[in-house]
Amino acid sequence: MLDFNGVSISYGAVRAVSELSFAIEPGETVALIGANGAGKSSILKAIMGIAPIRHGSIVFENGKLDGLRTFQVVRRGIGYSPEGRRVFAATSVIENLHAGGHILPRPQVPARLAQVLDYFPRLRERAHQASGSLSGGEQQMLAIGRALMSRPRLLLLDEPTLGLAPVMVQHIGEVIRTVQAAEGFAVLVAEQNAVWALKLAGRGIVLEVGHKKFQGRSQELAQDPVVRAAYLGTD
Amino acid sequence: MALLLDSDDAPSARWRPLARWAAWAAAAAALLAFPLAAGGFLTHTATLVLLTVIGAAGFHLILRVGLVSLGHAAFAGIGGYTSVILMMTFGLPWIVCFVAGGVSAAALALLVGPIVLRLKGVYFVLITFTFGEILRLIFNDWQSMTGGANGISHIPPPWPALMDTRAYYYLALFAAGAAILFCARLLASDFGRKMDAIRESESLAEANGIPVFAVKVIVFAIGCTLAGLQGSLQAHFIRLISPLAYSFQESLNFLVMNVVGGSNSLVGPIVGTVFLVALPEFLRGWVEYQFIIYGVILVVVMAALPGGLVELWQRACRWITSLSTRSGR
Repeated sequence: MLDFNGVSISYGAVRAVSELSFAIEPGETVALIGANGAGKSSILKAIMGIAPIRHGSIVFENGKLDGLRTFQVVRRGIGYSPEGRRVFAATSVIENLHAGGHILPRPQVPARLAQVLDYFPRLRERAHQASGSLSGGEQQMLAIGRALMSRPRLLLLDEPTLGLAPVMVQHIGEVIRTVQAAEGFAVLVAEQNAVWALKLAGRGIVLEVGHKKFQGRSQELAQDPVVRAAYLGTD
Repeated sequence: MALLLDSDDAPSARWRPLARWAAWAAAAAALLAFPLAAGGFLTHTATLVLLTVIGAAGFHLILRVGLVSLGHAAFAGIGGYTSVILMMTFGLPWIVCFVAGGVSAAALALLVGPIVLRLKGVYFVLITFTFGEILRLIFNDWQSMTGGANGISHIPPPWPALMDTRAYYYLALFAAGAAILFCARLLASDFGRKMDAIRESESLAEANGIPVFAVKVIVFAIGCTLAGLQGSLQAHFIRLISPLAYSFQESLNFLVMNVVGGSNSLVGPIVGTVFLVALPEFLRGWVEYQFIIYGVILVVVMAALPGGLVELWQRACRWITSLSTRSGR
């Protein structure tokens, strides 16, 4: 459903990603793993029309994404939870979720809101609290919940576990899996925590300074001695 | 509007709607009765306040998407000059001139907005400042059309009956009421939520599927339209139009009104306008100290009340509720 064809991304003279190609099938989860500066976030930003593409093209459900503005990409059916669990800090949890539901037809919003709150009971408890006062894990749930509000067919998650307590990391993974099972969307997750990401995803792509180094099924990657040594820190 | 003034923890939720209606009715009655009780000078000042509120509300809308336009007064000038010239040179009826004043400001905003709105933060402020000054120079130098630095005097009122200040007060009251109601509805709508999202974070708003740029252009155009309408109403009220009234200092005044009153709710610019338009009229005896007094007020408000005078009211409400709950126990 998403095809990355020989895409290069650069910021000025600095090249972040070089001629990268991969594809995502409907309903599957793909993890982008690698060190800082490997280009994981840039790939998500390129899909969202935030980072400039120099070569190649990105195709989503037979439509080209390159050249579209961010809001247009969202309207095509892609949800985006940016890095650093970004929420509208001054507004309440409910209002944040409403913001995520802007592109839905209005009558569908209340039902969708109830559904997303069902997925994240913690958010329901905090419904009228200012988002800035939530814990880090709750803010991450809110960022994901907000992205889910638009009923995306592809969900992009940028560093969803960054800075979270281990219990919360595990919990977030469970929630993503549950919701995905219920709704059937595909997930592309960029993540430094490779162990966690490979547990969540069916497939993984290992990046190194903008190049694809390995790719394969998560279990195979998790057992590959080179990947284990370099990214999983287990040997 | 009243929503924004309420504190969240008031215990008497049941009485609130009733109290609110009573407050609105009292305010409306006071506004309607004002010119009957007050003298000519007070009515004149009140009319100026009401007219300025329209432009200040327009400025507020633009501020609510995180933008400060120092060309705001120049858009009022566009509305004023368009309206006056159409009426005095072409003899069109006032209502046509008034609408044309708003439309011309809107058209110019739609033309310029898509260009200047590509700039952000301080660069937007600077480009609107520059644009406003260019417009002011045009008002100043296009002698044959605008009367140059002397401007145009002996502007007729919309209707002969509106020669009377009291009559004009009611026109201004109606116009300001309509403008405020419109802005309040807009801010409370889905569109208003998009505006709030943009003010808090443009990138995040965009990631939620909000067409940030388009929303900003629309808001800019609406805000400038209100300025243009104010310009028309004001020119026909003071019956004089000159480039001086549309310099960037006037735009700055709109900003100060919003900051002093409070820039987080529509009540802010209303309170701020009352303060900033009425105050100088009463300080005329101390003209040389006027700006010192201004400056002191501005510094005090910004240091002690970042939410503006509206915050003073909110704090007072909270204090009273805390007193009443404490005595209740």
